[in-house]
Amino acid sequence: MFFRQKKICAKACGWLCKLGLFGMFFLYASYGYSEELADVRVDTTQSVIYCDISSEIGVEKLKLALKEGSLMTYSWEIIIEENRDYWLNKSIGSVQLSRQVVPDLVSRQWLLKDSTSGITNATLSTHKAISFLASLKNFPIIDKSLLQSGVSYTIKVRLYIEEGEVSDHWWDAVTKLGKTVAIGSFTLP
Amino acid sequence: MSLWLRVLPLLLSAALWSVIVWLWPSHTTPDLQVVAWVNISLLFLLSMVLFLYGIRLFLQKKEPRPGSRLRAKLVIGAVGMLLIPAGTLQIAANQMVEKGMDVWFDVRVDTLLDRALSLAQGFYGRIDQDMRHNLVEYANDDGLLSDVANFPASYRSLNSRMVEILQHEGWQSIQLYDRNERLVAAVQSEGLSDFKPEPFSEQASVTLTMGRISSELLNLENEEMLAVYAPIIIQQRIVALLKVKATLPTGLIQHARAVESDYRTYKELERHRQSIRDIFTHAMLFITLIIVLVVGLVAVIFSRRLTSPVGQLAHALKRITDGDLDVSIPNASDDELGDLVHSFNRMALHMKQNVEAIEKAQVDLSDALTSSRQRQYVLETLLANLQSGVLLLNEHGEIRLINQSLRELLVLQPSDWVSGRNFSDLSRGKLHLVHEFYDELSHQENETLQRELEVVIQGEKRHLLARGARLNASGLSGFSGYLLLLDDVSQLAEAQRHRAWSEVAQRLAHEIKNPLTPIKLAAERLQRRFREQVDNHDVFDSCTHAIIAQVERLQRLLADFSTLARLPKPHCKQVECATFVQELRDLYSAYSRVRVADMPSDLSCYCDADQVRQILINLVENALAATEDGQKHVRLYLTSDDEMVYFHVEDDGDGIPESVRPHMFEAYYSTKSTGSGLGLSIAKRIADEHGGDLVLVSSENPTHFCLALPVQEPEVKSTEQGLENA
Repeated sequence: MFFRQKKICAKACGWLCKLGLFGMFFLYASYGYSEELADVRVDTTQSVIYCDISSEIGVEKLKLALKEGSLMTYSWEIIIEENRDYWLNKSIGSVQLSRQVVPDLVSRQWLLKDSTSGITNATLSTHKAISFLASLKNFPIIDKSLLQSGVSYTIKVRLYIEEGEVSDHWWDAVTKLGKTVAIGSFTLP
Repeated sequence: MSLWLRVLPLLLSAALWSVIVWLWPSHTTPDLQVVAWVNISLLFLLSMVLFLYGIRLFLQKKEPRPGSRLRAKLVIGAVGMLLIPAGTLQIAANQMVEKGMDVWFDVRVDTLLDRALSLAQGFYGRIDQDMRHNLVEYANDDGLLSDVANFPASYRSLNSRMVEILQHEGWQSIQLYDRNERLVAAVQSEGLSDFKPEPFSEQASVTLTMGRISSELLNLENEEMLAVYAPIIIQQRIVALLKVKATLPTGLIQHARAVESDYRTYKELERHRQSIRDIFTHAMLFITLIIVLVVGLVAVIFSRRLTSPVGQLAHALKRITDGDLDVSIPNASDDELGDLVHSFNRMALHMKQNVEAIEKAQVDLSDALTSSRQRQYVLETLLANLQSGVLLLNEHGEIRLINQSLRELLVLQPSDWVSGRNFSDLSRGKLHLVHEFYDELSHQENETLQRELEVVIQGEKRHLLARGARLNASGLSGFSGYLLLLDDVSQLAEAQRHRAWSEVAQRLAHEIKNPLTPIKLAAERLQRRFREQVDNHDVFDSCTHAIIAQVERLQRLLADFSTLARLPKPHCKQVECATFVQELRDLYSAYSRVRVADMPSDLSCYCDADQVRQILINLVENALAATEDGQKHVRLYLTSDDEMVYFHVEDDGDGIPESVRPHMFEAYYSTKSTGSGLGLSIAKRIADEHGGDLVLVSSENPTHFCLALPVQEPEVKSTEQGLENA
């Protein structure tokens, strides 16, 4: 009986090691995609924390896609975490924002849709359409009262880029792979 | 397990790692393919399984479980057979997709779509341009400007003017907004009964602010409309905004939108050309990997089911090889493997039964062998201790058995007289009488034969009693041959001869001794009484002296006879040897040529002193007789060891001829004319009865006799008696 249990324990340990190896592989893989591709700047001077984010990810491709009439959607996820030295960071909150540009090739104009606020504008400027998608200016992310003074915080910016109509299938949440494009940190005075 | 089979999983793992590196998505790739990561995960899983399996194989020192190698080969074979066509199919499919892409995204299609879109854009642009142009004209019309300036007094005039424009241009509606973005006048083709006020659009605000004409496309449910905004400027001031809407031709706009949609789709596909190819490749790879995994799993399960009986068979065979015959394999299937297992179980059962039977027979044989060995041991012990010489010959006359007594009796060469040698070849020469005896036995009709043989062994004549028996092949032995028993009866014959002579001597002495005394007395009387009466005294004296001398000689001879016949049993005791030496030295002190050597005073022997003294005197007398002439010496000295004392008598006489030597210890054999021939015979007999011996060491230069006597009372007799009793 004892040897049987010992054998089962050894087998379980073996499988745990293999799973650990498997996990380490994907940890490394995800780390490879965590490099910074955008700038983030945090403004802590006001009662609300604002940030400016500008991404240069595939601007040329985005421009081409817009010119060729593809509907582009940029979904931003901004995560605020409290830094901890010997454990995983503590999540404070997150903000999600989705922006969409709908090209009209017949009239040669772009409709700029902010899904969060519901505001829609039309523009004939490509630059304006690209800027609308790839940058956030003075975007409020969290109330200062939720943060503590002297504590270091990290802002992670994940970007989900979609081309074409945004579907709302259940599997989209699983298959949609985002990319951490920027990581910034700040400490409240 | 062979080296290539051990290395193969590691090589496959390395190959899979190469594929992983090749398929690894680029960091700059915006589209992260889920399928690619799934493929990489599967490849990683496969490579890890192969790597761990390879490491386990490499570190494995003990013999693998039975059937595992066959199982590994089956799995590798199945997966390998699948991989080759799957890989080929994948490459072929990739090539087809590549070619298909080139066909699909042809430059002519590209150009065609560009032109179609340009047409649609041109159509829209033309309508937009016309509307703008006409609207600008109406906005600058003096009548309209006057009506706007005098509004609301000129409401009727303005309304009728707007209706006129609407009907003239065929627009959908015309609306007039004041500076404060309030709708002040409106006409529409359907009438104002179902008029719905619209919010002031941003584009309209821009026009009102900037003072430039602008337009926008309005997508409604079933139609698209073009809205154009024109500022009304009076005295360089924007006082109002004129908005007109026109429904775009449905058929044309649908075509334009269709062109736009196709163009968009085409461009999107063309832009994702590489991604499509990658998706296809990854999808194919995913299917291949899934199939490989499924087939591998099925192969493992199938091979496990297939090799399980084989492994059990191998394990069972190993157990049987190690001697464990209590083996039985559970039969699980009804196929050929099941038949094989069934046959194996039957074979193992039969083997077990056979081995049990063999073991039982072995035990019986061991018992029989033990019994046979015991009998053989008893027989060998009997033969070894038997005084008789025993020789067993087979029917061809080859030696089967010979005992030590026979070797000693006939002084046989141990290297020649061995089992298997032919007796006839060995028994030529001095043993020809034994051979003749065997010949007679083998050719006669009787089963047994007994003869007395006289053979000469090393110059010594021996009387042998030979008895032979023919052994017939009957009973359990199945052996046929001849058994020869040879006994040395020399001493018995000698004793019988001595006894016969003793009896003769006693009778002769008795018969002759009685008249000798009166003869001697009569001769002496004649000498005393009639000597004076005869005339020739010399002749008379000579005759009477001769009679008396011969009678005395006969009396001595008879005394010797009597002594030989009635030699008393020796009364032995421990006697110091120095006594004999001193006596002999005193006795022969007159003889200067007799030299008696000194000896240790503590040396003694167990003997009858009178009889030993008689022997020594006899030997010295014989030596003196042989050395009467010349300066020759007689030497007497002693030597000893732990068991015996040796009296040596040497003389420098002429020696003893070789022809005499064999007979010199025989009774009544003498070379002297006056000798009785009994001296040495009596001496030899005395020595024998003392448990010693008298031997002639050398016959000349010097003539050397040695008398051996025991130091202590010999225990040989008691030992022999003990053996005889046993």
